[in-house]
Amino acid sequence: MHYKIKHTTEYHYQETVSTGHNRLCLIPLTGVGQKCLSSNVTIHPIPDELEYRKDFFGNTLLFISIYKEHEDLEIVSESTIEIDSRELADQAMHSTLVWGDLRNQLATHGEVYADVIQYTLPSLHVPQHEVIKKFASDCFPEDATLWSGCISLMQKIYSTLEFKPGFTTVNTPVESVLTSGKGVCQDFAHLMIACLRNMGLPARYVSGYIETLPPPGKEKLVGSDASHAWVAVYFPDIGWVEFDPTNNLLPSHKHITVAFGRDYMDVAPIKGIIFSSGKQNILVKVDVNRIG
Amino acid sequence: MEKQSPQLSIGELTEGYFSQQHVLDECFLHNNGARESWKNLLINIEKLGTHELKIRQQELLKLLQENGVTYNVYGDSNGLNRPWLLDTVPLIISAVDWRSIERGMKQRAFVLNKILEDLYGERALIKKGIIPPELIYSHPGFLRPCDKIKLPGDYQLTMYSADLSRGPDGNVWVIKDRAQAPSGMGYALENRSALSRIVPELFQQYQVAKLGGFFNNMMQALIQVAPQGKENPRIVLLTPGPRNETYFEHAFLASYLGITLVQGEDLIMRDSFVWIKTVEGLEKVDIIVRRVDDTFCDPLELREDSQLGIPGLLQAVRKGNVAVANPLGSSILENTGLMAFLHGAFQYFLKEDPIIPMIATWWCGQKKEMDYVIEHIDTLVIKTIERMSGFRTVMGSQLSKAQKEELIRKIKFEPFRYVGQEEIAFSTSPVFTRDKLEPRFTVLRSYLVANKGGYEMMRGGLTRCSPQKGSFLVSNQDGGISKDTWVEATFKTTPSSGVHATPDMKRKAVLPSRAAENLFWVGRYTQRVIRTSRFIRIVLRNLTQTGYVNSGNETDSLHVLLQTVTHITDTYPGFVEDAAAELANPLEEIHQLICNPDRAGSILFTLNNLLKSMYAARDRWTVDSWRIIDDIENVKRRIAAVEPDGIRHVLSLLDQLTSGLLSFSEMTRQSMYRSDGRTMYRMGQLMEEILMELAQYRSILPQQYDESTEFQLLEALLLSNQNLSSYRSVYRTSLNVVPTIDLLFLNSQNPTSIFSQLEGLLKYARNLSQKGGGVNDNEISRLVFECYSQVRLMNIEVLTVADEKTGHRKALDGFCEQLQTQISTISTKLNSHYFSHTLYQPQSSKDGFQFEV
Repeated sequence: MHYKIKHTTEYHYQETVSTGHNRLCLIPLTGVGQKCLSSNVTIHPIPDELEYRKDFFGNTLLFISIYKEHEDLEIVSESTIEIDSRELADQAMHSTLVWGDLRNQLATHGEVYADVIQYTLPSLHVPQHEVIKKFASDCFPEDATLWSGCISLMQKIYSTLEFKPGFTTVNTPVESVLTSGKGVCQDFAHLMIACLRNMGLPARYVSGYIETLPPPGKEKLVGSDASHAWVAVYFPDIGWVEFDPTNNLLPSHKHITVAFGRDYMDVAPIKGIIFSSGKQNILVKVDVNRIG
Repeated sequence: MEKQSPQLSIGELTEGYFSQQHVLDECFLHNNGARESWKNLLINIEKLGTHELKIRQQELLKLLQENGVTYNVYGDSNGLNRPWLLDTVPLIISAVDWRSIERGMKQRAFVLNKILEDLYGERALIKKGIIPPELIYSHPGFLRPCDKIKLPGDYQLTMYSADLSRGPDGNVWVIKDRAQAPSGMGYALENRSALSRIVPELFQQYQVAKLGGFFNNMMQALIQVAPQGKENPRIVLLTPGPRNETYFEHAFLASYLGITLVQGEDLIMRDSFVWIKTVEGLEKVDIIVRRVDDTFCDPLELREDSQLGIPGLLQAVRKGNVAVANPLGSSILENTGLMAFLHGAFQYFLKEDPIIPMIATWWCGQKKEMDYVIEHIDTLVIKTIERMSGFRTVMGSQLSKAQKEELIRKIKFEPFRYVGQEEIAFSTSPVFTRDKLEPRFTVLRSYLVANKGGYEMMRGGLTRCSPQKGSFLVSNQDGGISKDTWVEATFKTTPSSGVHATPDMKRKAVLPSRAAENLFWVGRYTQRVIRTSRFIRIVLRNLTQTGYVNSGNETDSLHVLLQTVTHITDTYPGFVEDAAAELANPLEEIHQLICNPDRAGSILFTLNNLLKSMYAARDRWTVDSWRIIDDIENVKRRIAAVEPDGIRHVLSLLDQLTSGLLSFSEMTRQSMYRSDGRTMYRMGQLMEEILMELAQYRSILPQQYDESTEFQLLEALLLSNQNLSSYRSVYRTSLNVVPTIDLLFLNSQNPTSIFSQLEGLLKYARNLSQKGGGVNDNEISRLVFECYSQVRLMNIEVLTVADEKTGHRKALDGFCEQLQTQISTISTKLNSHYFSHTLYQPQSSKDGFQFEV
């Protein structure tokens, strides 16, 4: 499956920005089941400095600095992606690994799983919390396989949380998302990751896009797609297997991965510092279109 | 085996010394003798006598206070400064002891350096199972954006510091490591200089190792990390600012080392270089010695809520265009849990055991170790692996049953965050207090720097003792006492006179914009306090002399004077509206305007702002200036204590305040290098003078009064501006408006006339414009020149024509108002052209996503 993606972000500043530095995490990853065939980021005003870099996790970041005064900033990221269906989920489905055994393996073979272990630890948006542990623990009875635990956790989150935009921000703590029962895909993902890590299991945050289909009989609106976030869990000998708790489904060819990290903070699409004290308005449009 | 010492007749001082003593003492042996290296000190103390020692102790503290040596405590009700406590009795370390400590510390520094390099490099320690991954990956000091960044040169850990203590076995132990921005070396230096100045007698018969050489080594170490091996790198010391607890030391070290003291806002990243913003433009920075915690150094890639760093710094660091020492990310070495795995690291890198033992540490991230900690919680000290977590170190033995259970529950929940450490009984050393020597637990902070040939150690350090007898708490935050640290030199050390030719000395000094701004405001506030005090003093005299008798004319003039007070202090409505009511008891308002530090515009309010600016620019003042600042602080406290009904006593305090500020100005005039800093300071003074004068004149002169009221007003005005006697000698007429205006505005012989002040201002403004900066420079002096010529050309006869009906001199009022506006504009322009005002904020992120299923 081939996709063409256009992700536009527009900032409008109430007061002139004299200098702006931004870290962009907008270039889709090439990895298992996905190939980024082309990627192009257009920025206006044209940055004075522009630098690509791989981050700690292996994602491609783009650093841009603008030293001229500006009131608007437009960032357009366009890419072409080729996606195979995700085979890892099929393998994981047949895995008989009991979740507790993964925990033991990690504990006894720290040096082998060093990289994986960091995804079992708390991070900024994913704290250890007893409330969360309690919420998660009935999905993981002692004899449950890792797979069945993950599936029932995903279902539990899907049925507990109501998808409601505007109710949370990027800084809403995950335990209060659980109390209020409302949130967006980020909150769904953070909650699921928090549950897994509280059980001692390695889970990471995946940021990307999802293709949406218009209601039957209607035409697809431009800019109506969205950034999306989901979860990947580590299965030994298989790899990182993905779960989308917002939609209660296993990501297939409709999910396009941009980057992964411990949580949102590591892979926020745009993170920056602007020299200005005024307010900012932001507009985001995403188009995901199948080609070929 | 110590030699049997002669019975010391120092008995009086040491009476009861051993009453509760169960641990080793650095000086005394339990059989009443003293260790060999301390004996001469005790003899010197004895010669001096208890009484004299007590006097010297006070002198010592006074000197330190006058020198402005402080340790700030966050949230301390005393405001910014807590005096630094230094004991007269030093800590002595014998040459033999020192040799092994030095050897051990160099070994440790070497290994920690290797660990740092490895953790941000190939991470072999983790891959080989020497250090567990959780210990590193869960620690907030492991900064992923800093991965694979390397300082030029052979060492990553430029500066290293550790707290040492002697354990019950007589060995020196490492208590903790400090690896990101070790503090205290400046205090160590200041302690030595104060002690040798106040109690030189103690040094008799001793060959104490000098400290100066270490700072030379430090400069050399810094030069080695210069980008591309640059020969004369520009080095800056990055401080979080005056509110930081060790700000004194930052300012002190910067001036001692001859490097520029900067805050984050003084620096910017541009074109992948870091630049310092100076009044003359941007200057490239090569090396940043940081005293800002690493996570706060770059809001773009690290903590985005930080205002203490430089957005984009890491970009410049990655490109190798600027070096930060210690490198960002080095706080990972302060991870308490590492202590448990260092033996393995020593073996891995050196195939050696540590020479200096370290506190036995159990990291709870391992099951067996966690079980051990929980089982032995009564005898252990429990800490978190990171410092910033808000968890306060606790001794298991001091917890109640419930607290213990709660702690165990927490440990079990997040085991990798906790360590248990053996509770060590530190040794004590004698502290002179309450006419006696008392044993206090003692910790030595030691310092090392990475030089070409290996680590060099300061032959001395900062010794700190517990504030209470029997208390283990030893930290500056908790109010410890410090000691000078004497390392016995085995050979005569070559005298070192401070730092030789630092690279910055070969460069032209720069004035960071923020420092320029502070100096400007020191100038302005100084004159504001002086002028306000003088005027209020006159009004207060008049008020108390008339004794509230409402006798026609006097009430009229008082009325105007009180209104003027409101005008010059900008404390509307004050006496301006509803003056009649205020006049019933004006003293109340006057008291507020002097003594209430929370009332904007009051003398104390301005004084506090002045002190803040002085403090923020503290690397610019000499020791003598600090002594005066200290006096001013004292007067301030006394003014704050004046009660409304004791307002008369405030007069002499205001006099003291004014003369203190005048000597400060004089001292600054004499000592401040003729540079941009001085220009800013003088411009501030002159502009404030002009504005204060104009506010007074505009309040009094534009209105015509009857002869006797006018006389009283002019007299008060001239008196407050200290022009009364010159008026009499120059004009030889009774007080009259026209000659008064001539004297106050135009007379070039009168140094405080508006004309003379503008002349001075013009001179300094032109100083600015000569520096080849942008075209903006000319604008300031052009604006000053405009004011200058307007005053020069003013026609007093025309300006003083009064409206026949109202008696209002509209032209004069307008003239003053226009000047006021022009001067304020100049201040604003100066502000925007030369001072840094670069507020920044995180780019906002989209709140959530709009994806709907």
